[in-house]
Amino acid sequence: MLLNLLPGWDSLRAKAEQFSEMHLDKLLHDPERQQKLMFSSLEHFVMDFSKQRLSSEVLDELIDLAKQAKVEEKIQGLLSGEIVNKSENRAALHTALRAPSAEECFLEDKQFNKKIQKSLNKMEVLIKRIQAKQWRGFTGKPIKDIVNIGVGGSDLGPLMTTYALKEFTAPDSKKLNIHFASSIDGAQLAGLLPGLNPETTLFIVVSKSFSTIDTLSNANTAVSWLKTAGADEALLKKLHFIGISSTTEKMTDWGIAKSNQLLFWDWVGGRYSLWSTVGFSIALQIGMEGFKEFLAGAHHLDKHLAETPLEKNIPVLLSLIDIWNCNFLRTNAHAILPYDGRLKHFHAYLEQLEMESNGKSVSVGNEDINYRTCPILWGEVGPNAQHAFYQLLHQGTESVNSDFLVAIKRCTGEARDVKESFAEHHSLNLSNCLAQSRVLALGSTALSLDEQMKLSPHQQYAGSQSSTTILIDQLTPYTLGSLIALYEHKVFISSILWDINPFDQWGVELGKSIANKIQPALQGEKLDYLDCSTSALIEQVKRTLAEAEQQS
Amino acid sequence: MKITVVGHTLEGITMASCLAEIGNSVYLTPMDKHEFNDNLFEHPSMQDGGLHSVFKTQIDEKRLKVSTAINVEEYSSDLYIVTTIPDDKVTVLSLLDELSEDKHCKGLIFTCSLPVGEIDKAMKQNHLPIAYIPEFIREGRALEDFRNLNTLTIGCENNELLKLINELYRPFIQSHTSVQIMTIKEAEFARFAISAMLATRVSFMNELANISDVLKIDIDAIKRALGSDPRIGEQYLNPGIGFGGRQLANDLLLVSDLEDSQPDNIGLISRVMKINERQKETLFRKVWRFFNGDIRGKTFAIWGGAFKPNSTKIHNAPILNLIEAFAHQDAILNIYDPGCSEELLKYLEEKSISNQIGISGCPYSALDGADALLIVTEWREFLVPDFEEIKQRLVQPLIFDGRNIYDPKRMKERGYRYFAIGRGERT
Repeated sequence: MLLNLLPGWDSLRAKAEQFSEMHLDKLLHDPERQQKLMFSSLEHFVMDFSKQRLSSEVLDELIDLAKQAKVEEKIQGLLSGEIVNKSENRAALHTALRAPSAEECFLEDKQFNKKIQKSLNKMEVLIKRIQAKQWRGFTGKPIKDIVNIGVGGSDLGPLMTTYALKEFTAPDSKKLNIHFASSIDGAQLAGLLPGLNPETTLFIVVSKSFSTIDTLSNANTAVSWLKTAGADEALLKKLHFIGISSTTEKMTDWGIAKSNQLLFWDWVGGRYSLWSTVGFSIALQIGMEGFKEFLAGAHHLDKHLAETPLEKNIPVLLSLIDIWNCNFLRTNAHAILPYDGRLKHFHAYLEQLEMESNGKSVSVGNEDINYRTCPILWGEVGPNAQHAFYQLLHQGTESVNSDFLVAIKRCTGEARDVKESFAEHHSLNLSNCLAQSRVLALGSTALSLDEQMKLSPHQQYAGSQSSTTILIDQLTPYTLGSLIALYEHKVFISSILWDINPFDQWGVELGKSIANKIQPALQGEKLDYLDCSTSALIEQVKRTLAEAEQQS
Repeated sequence: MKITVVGHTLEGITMASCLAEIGNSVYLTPMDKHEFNDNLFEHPSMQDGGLHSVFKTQIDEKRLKVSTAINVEEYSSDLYIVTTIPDDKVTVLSLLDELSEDKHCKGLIFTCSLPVGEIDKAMKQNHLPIAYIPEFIREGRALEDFRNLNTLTIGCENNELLKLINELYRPFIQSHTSVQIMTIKEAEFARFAISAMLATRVSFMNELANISDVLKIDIDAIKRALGSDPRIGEQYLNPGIGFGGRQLANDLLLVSDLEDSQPDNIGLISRVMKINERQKETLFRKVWRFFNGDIRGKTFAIWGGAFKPNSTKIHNAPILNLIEAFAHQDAILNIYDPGCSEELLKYLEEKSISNQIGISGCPYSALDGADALLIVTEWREFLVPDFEEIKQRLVQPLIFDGRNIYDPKRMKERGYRYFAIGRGERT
């Protein structure tokens, strides 16, 4: 059912009128409210919603709204393998990927778990061979550099996670260098290849369909580059490529050796695929044991989602806060602000997860939706963003909801001699995190009355920008697994309330097919159905290229 | 002279036997109980050319006695010779304190490698006279080396002890023996310098051999040209698949640590070690390229395994790198080595890869059904084998020679495809 047809909608709309006019300052001096809006029901995490513009009563009503949207039922549907992705007629079983054993899996069909474990086992064999320096290139030298070629979910999740968990690199992987290349213009490969040796470089080609043009064009460039070292193409493809896809046929056709093919399945969405063999580069970096910890952290969230009453269910609450901001307070911008340099790529990962899942305007029942869905979401490492877009958050005209993320404990892997300096860094970092959310909420009222009196208009801060603070014990493979799964499930719960299918992405298709038509036009073919803007641009490109060719 | 030799090592056994042979009364004791071997006749070092019989004669004639531990009361001696590194519990200083209890003891000689300066440090706290004489015998020719001394480097700053040392070694010093006397610290470093120089020559030659592969020339010609230059000399110019053994590796690590102590270190010795580790893989890489990266299920015969001929040891030997590389590719190996079969079997069991790798009792039966023969150690018995029989037993006439023991031209005439280090066919 559409969100605005749910019985609880009107009452919440009325409450929203009251809260949207209310300054956050009025809410932040009530210890009882604060207590009711801070949650530690999820192990390793503390969620503080008290800097949101709502009361615990509003939250209760939102929980009722979730019940009216049959959230509980739909959670069970997702976990038990119902067809939740109706436009593509399939289930979304990423939660099955992280169940450690058949007993722990929510699915009745226990064969699924066997299939999953089998593919993980095959991945482990390949990883161990690389770690043992026994994966050989065409001249027999061991592989040192591994390049993950993939785009979207085949890139963002592994890139974000390997970057975040660098300090958990397995001892056997310390001498391996893992790189990522995704962009269709080849710029990343062009930057990478000069520093690599064809004899010791292995490419991991990740594509669910194994026909993604972005990925295959990069893979073909990798083949051409390897060939400059003077070996035969078939041999290079056999020894220097691992394929990760849901289709063995296409991998075989391309030239990936059977023994180097890793499978995942069409019931794994691209943006949920890092838990499958797509997480190869993660497992290569942190070792299989570390990868299993990472899966266990996510599985912990799955159990939390399945077993915790909505009143304490963290992904549900996180989603309801989004719905409140977006649909009731009309705040349609959402900033992701990790106070942790290791989470540098986290916002890019979430941008795909949230906006590709919920950036839709048609309901599951194919009706037009007449309310806001996914907000515009962006982010940056908090302390760096303080020197960039925080100006807009503090003194701009837009209402923005923010997630502040910070690990309480740090300094696990830093060099001994400078341990104290790093402790100092972290204390600065924590105080900045707490200061910024406070100033966003209170504005100038964070100062004493005396101090406020002295401010000129350009020094005034309006405040009343809402935020959620997520405290993480410490960042480990386990807690990062939990954090990612927390956002995944939040996205799912929001999709239920918005009545949309979060598991398809039809919006990214049309551009691809039009690009296929424009490419021949750039090469001179005449197209008569183009708009005049695009035709003029094509003509300009052709002219410039022709001139450049003449000159050379 | 009454002498206690400490260490059930090849050097300890050799020195004890040779010193007893010329009339000294010698006790041979282990450094600690773990090292004690209740049947020394079974000790692997006894197989070192003729050592067993000299040892037995000296035991029979009672000039040589074996004890279970250092015992200064029962086996009081004029001189103690320490041939093995004290373990964690026994430091140089505690050893000195213990030997000081022996009122007859006139001095102590260390021959094992200790970090440079270690003895000087201990001598500041204990005044027992000490000398350092770096070990010079080579495995496989221990008796020969000791009885026929080429060089003797003595680090000693105590004249009384120096007199005793002269007396002790005089029967072994020949007209050609070069005797060098210096400080203890200098002698300690000289030992490492020699190891490092030899290792550098070998890695240098291996580097030249790899370049010869690229240039498609025969490294043997280069070796001859180098060896005939008197400034360079002929020794240690054989390219191959790298050196192994425990001692050299330990010495190099210590030198490399000393290198690190220089602020502007470039790391020559650590490069020498890196080249050596890479060289141990050369033979595998040649095989890999020959078979285009497809050796799964193929069988390879290997002649040799010991880190050098006439040795039973496989510590740091190239065979270990080869076993690991081939086993990871699911290839099958049949290894024949006249000396190290037992050590190899033990190693394979520990690594749980014994099902893929067979140890053969005969060089020719190791060849049956093999896709190629690999030469890993240059035992004398491999120098002129029956090439016809080899050809009959192999699936194809194909040899990868890691020690350059055959002539590429002759091998071609015999109908072999022959790959070696810096010579022969190139992959």
